[in-house]
Amino acid sequence: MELRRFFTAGEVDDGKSTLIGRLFLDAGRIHQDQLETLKGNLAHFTDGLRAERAQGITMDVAYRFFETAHRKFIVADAPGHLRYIRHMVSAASLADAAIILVDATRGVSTQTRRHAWLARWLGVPAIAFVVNKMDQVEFSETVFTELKAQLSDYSDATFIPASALLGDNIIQRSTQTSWYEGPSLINWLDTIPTKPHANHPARFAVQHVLRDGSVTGQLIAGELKSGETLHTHQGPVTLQEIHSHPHQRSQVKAGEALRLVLARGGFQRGDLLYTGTIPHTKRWEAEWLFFEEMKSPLIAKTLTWQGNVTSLQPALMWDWEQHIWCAPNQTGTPLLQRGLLEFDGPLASDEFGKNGMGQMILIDSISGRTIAAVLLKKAL
Amino acid sequence: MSHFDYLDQLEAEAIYSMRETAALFKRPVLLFSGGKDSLCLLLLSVKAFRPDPFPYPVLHIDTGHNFSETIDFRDRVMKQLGETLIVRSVADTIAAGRAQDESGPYPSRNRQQARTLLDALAEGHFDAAIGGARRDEEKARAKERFFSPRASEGGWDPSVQQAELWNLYNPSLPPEGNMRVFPLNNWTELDVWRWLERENADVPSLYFSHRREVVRRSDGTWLPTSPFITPLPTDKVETWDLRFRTVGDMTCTSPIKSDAKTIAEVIQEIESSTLSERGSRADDKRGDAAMEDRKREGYF
Repeated sequence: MELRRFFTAGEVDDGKSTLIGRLFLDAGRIHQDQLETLKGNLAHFTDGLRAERAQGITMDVAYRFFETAHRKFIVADAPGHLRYIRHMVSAASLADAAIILVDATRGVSTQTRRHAWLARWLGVPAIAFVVNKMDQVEFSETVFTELKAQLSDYSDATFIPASALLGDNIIQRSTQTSWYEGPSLINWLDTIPTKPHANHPARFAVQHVLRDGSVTGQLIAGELKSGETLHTHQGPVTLQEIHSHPHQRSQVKAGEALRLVLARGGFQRGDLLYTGTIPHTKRWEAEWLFFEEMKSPLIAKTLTWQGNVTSLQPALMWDWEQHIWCAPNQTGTPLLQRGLLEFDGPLASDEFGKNGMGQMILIDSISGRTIAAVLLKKAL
Repeated sequence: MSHFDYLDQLEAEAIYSMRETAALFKRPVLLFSGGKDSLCLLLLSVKAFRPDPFPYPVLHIDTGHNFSETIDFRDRVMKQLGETLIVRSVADTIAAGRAQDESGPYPSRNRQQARTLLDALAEGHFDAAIGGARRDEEKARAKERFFSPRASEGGWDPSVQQAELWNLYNPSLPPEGNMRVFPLNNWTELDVWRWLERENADVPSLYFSHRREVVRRSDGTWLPTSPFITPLPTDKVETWDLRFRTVGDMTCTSPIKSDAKTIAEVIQEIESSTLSERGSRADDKRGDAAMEDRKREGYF
């Protein structure tokens, strides 16, 4: 069985929580005792907090799990409201797929576009637009086609006409949409690929060093073979042994948690072991999204590096209404900008989307909160 | 292991978060209840850190209402691992006047153990506590992060939860606060059992079918007979072949009728069950937001 992560997003009241409730109900994953506490409202299945029930909206990401014969799914139900965008990007950051709801009765909203754009910005490989509440527009093909045309920027996305409330095209293909030839939502989910990192150069981040000098960490991308030579910023080193307790291995692939025995010691947390080449510099062209306001100096953190931001120079700002890059003349949140970032030390990274690297968070040095997501685009 | 399947992915994610905890905090601690989930944490720690000893001690909060099987299992597994076990007792907290026992037909030490836990974290100067809570257990837990900071009094404030992007965990703590770390966030009850089966693990006997005397309450609740529950005139004492799906205090953990004697049979039973795992927990039936409220008070 394979693991896939997806998230759902959309406008307030588009029916995200109802959709997930439906998915679980029809897939047989809502238990009798849980059904009783729902009191007939499927949306309550994911709205877990007292304040969420009182206000009738999702405020934080709720994670749920179900499986088909082939896959285990981790479902992140993300809030639709702009104020909670930090939760949406948390849900999207690890996702293999995005399900974005469009309300057939209201059309494509600014927020729907925002969510779709953010999913693509964060590199989510597969996007499905679920045109929901089709039962309220008499399952009209014309309505569906018009909405699809409004989202023509996403020609590689899948569009599914559905009713989360009634279950059309969620698990079973609907008899109400004979004009639709695509998959039901669950059929689509069963075919989404995962992020492919195996056929890449190797990237291994040292997490923790053991007493015998062996290093532990996760293989972020590529493969490792015992006996091969790996690069480090202190020069080459021979990889003597690969362990995933209690086994010794000769070859391993991306994603595994490992312990490596190297021909020499002196390694520490944050060291990068790699094959091929990797940029290593203080200055980066980057894009960043502030979901909370910056109030004090920033700490930057990647999979391998932590340090201070010494300069942040926006050259452009994303206009969420017009959907274009424009002059960086605004403040407030969420704030998406593109420009130059400089750090107090060199950091090794690929550009975002390559070899599983290039992602960074910014932490406010006084509040300690994670306030921005950064995509490293180009080493300078 | 030629095929990297979903259990390997869950395992790698859990080990990653435990190694991050060991690297980012001065004094982490692992919370062990004697149940199957925190048993996974112990076995995952072996995978994450051997040949070294664990980079943290193991802490058990003993409510005094535990099954004797749980205590026996705890001592056996800790002896096998050769790791440090710290036990702090709710009875001591109550004796010191820092908590009070409940009265009524369902007296529980569930809330009181939060006080003992917070005291133990303060006493040991622990800045991070690794726990076996899972998102699929309960709707408040469904919103948890991997790294979840707590103020000094341990309260969980869901309204200010910060972003957690990719697997870049933020170790910053509020003043005097500590981190709660949940490596099993993405595991379901079935995943736990499938993984324990794959690891050929020694599992507490309470999870398997055995003959036991229980008290049936007039509201249909079943509780194991024990000195810790207040007898009611309407109670009926019965004996059945039973097993426990979750193992907590004897006062709030209801068994289910079962013939499952092996992990494989337990998996089969769960796959065909119509009740959720915590459907048999009296402590979760104290209202819709029972878990959210306990988490705000410092509970796991």
